[in-house]
Amino acid sequence: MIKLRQLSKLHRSGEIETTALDRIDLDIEAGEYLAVTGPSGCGKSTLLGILGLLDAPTAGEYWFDGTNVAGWNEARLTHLRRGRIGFVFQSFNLIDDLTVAENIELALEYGDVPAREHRRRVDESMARLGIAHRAGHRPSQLSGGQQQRVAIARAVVSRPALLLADEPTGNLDSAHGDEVMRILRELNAEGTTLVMVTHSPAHAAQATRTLRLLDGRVLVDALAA
Amino acid sequence: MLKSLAVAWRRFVADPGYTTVVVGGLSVAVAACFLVMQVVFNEVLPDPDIPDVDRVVTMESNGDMWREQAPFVLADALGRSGPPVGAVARSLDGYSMMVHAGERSARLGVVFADPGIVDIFGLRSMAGDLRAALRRPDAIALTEASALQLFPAGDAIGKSVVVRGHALMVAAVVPKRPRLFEAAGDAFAPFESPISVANPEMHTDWQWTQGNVFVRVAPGFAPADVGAAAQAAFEKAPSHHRRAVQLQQADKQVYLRATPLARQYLHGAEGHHHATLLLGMAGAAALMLALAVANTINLTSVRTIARAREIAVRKTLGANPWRLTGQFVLEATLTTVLSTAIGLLLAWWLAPTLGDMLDLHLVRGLFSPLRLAALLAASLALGAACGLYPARIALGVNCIAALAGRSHTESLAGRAARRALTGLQFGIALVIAGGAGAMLWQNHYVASLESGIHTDGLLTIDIPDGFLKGPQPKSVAFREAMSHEPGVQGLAWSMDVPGRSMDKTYRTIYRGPQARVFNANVMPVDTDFFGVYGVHVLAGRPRAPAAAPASAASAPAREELVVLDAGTARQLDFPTPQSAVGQLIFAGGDGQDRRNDPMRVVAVVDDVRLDHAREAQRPHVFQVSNEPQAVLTLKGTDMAALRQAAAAVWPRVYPDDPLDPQTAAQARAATYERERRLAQVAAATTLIALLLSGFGVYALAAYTVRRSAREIVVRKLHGASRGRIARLVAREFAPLLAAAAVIGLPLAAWLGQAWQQNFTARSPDVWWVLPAALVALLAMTALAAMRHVRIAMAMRPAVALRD
Repeated sequence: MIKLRQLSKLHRSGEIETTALDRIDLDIEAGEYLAVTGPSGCGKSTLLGILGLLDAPTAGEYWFDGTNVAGWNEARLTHLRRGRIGFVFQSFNLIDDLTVAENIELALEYGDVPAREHRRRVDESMARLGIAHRAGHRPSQLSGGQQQRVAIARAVVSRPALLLADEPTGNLDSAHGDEVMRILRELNAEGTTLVMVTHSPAHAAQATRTLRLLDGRVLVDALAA
Repeated sequence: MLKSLAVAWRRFVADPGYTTVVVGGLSVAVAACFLVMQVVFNEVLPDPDIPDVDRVVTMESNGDMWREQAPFVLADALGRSGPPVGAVARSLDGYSMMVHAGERSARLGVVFADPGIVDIFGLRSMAGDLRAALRRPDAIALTEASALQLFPAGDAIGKSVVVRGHALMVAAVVPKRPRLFEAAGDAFAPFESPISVANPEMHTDWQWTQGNVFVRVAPGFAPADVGAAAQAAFEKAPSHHRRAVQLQQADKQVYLRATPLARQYLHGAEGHHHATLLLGMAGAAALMLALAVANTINLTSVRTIARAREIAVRKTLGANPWRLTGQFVLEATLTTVLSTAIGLLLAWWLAPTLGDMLDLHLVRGLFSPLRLAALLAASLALGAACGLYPARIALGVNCIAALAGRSHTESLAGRAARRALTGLQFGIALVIAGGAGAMLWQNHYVASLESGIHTDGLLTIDIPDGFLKGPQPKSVAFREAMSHEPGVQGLAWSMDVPGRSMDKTYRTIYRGPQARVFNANVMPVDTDFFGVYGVHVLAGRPRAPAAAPASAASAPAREELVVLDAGTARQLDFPTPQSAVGQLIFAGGDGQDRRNDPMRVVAVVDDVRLDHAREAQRPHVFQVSNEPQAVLTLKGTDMAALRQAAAAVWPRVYPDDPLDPQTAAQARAATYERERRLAQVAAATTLIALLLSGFGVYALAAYTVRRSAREIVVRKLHGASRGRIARLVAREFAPLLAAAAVIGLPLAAWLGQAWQQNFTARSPDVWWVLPAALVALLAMTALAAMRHVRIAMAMRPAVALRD
């Protein structure tokens, strides 16, 4: 599904150049559950951003579903990303001006799903994540765990092939964190490819494969024991 | 799209401060611009109700300056001349009279006009025949509103009304006031009507220019041809009439011209004043709109930066640049459309008052489909313009950083643009404040010019038909009755309240056949006038001639007794005031014409200043006579008692005429009413401009403090005092204020100077308003930023460094 070949990412700020990713080679198959770990500043979030087509590599190749997207402009990346990739963030990133249902529907508004289908899909997602009773609430009225479930609902409502999670349990207590991890496992079991950045060894161990980064390079790439 | 609108509406409601500032500012600016548009439609553009309006001209005369009035004798001359004159008609308007219909009464403005008005202006009657009504001396025509006021059943035609003791028959009802007579046209009557206020001399004397003469140009001819025909008619007039007029004109050659009605507003006699007013209003509206738009863009772009995370989420979910831009343009358009709707209501509310204040037609056609469509189109365009810059900011948001919770920092270019907009706001506020300040100061200066007369404790009353010559038994009776009323300590007749800017009487005066001739204001007064108005007598004693014998009509012209002011005596080459007393001077005519009216100087008084400060000051001559005049002035210490006394006596003498007393101070203040009203509008505009700038500074100070939170905390940790922290915030605005001062103050000075050019008497120290405007702007900025400066100074390091 995804192939990275000698992929690098440099950040330039004035005369300062920082290497965030250094000649990464990586293959991710459809349906895989990959955990990405490493110390702060090792390039995990940068890697996730590139995998999610939010950012372009400085050098190297990125093959997504058989197409090399390195060098594409933002508009093309956005079009490709729509409906194919879902995101779950540590800080939820819900829009407080929208209700729970509207936050979830946002993922469908920019896509190709017909408008008459939106309501059914949103209801389905809310029911799946157990938040249908909060449909009319604003995110600020929910607990952390509920907010993350809304974020996951938004991420999966368009039935993406790839789900990227950046420390999805980072702002949750252990009980809610376990709940979120359970949901992610279920989604992966249904066939969604899942790439998750995490600091938690316990959560990383739940993945089928672990990628450990250090200073922008792959240190370890191992299947789960 | 509906959903985006719904969400945008929710944001409005959730942030009332932002909404109030942005929508409020834009609404006021939209209202101002719409009212300017009303002036263009209702004043500048020709009246669409007049058929073939390009072929209708109004005659203008050039005495001391061009005026919209023309001598009525011209109408007779043009009427006889044939082509290029197709039709000609006169009108005289603005006379307020009580009209009685049985138990009902109404105070109506009566326009006296010729029947030719109907064809020239395409006036139609909704009942009766207006043309016939203007041919019958015993008839009157009413507007629909006036007719309903007097005859609520709607059956006015054929009914009788009583005006000034005369019974008239309602012969026509017209649907609405024609635009030309909108100021005071509630009723129409012919010049031959017994209630006519037209002075008989108006029909024979080329110097009498109190009414209007309109001409419809004959086919195949141009308006200039009518002007040439009028001038030719004047050239054929008797020489003594022409001489008097030509002396007023000095070297000017052309006395009459024909101005097309379609172009009169900006190119007619008052075109310069109208253009100044229109440019001033348009300039003020444009500045307010620029200020409101700058404020909106600034505040919206700050909010956009704060919405970086939301924008990143939308981009992540697939919003392409077009969708994102469309969202921000839509949000901005909602703002501008909402502001336009409120602005339209504001304009509707202000139009009647503002129209009265500035003597403009602002209400007519306010909700016409064409104007509403133009307003809507403008608001949509404005929305697009206001939304594009925030959209540009949104497109530049770094998704990864924003989603990771790192705050989006604006680019250097963005910061420069924001500061430029803030500086623009300051500059505009300064220009408006400085210009308005100069206007107010100049107005204050002219209103307090020493006039040589004293108005404390004086109540003035305009006497009906007081300008007519001959016996005035009612006037005599009224004065006699008032002299016995308690509280009345003095009474005086005069042609007008001295210094009130009504039409003046000019006469040429000179000392002898070879002496220099010049124009003077000649005001008939009685002997009590000088004591009542506190005019200081320098030499001689004011006295009136003895009553004329019964055979006076056939006697040669008698000596008039006059009082000069000191300046006039000097101009007549009298070395001292005393040397003028008892001397003979002459008025009217020229050396070849033996009609030299003798005037005996009986006294000289201190210099008086009675002309408007916009006009060159003329010499003043008081013609002393104890005959009743148009104004009776009462003197007393208790104004209320004077009013009560007048109200008690008046109905016994003038049962059909309204009593409208004014203090002398009020009457004189009316001279500068137009300037005062303009200054009030300017002051209101200044206040709005300062408030808009203040709100903008408030929001930007909040953003500055938020953005600089870490820097402020780190500085405090290293020992920075409160004063140093406050200076840190002030540093954001200081360069902008300096730039605004450099650009705005010279512009404000230019505006002030342009206003002063309208006056012959100019305040020498108007310059001080400029630093005062700058101080006001500084104070407003400090006040607006103060709260956030305090927040910055009180910031807790632990909280700021954690967030």
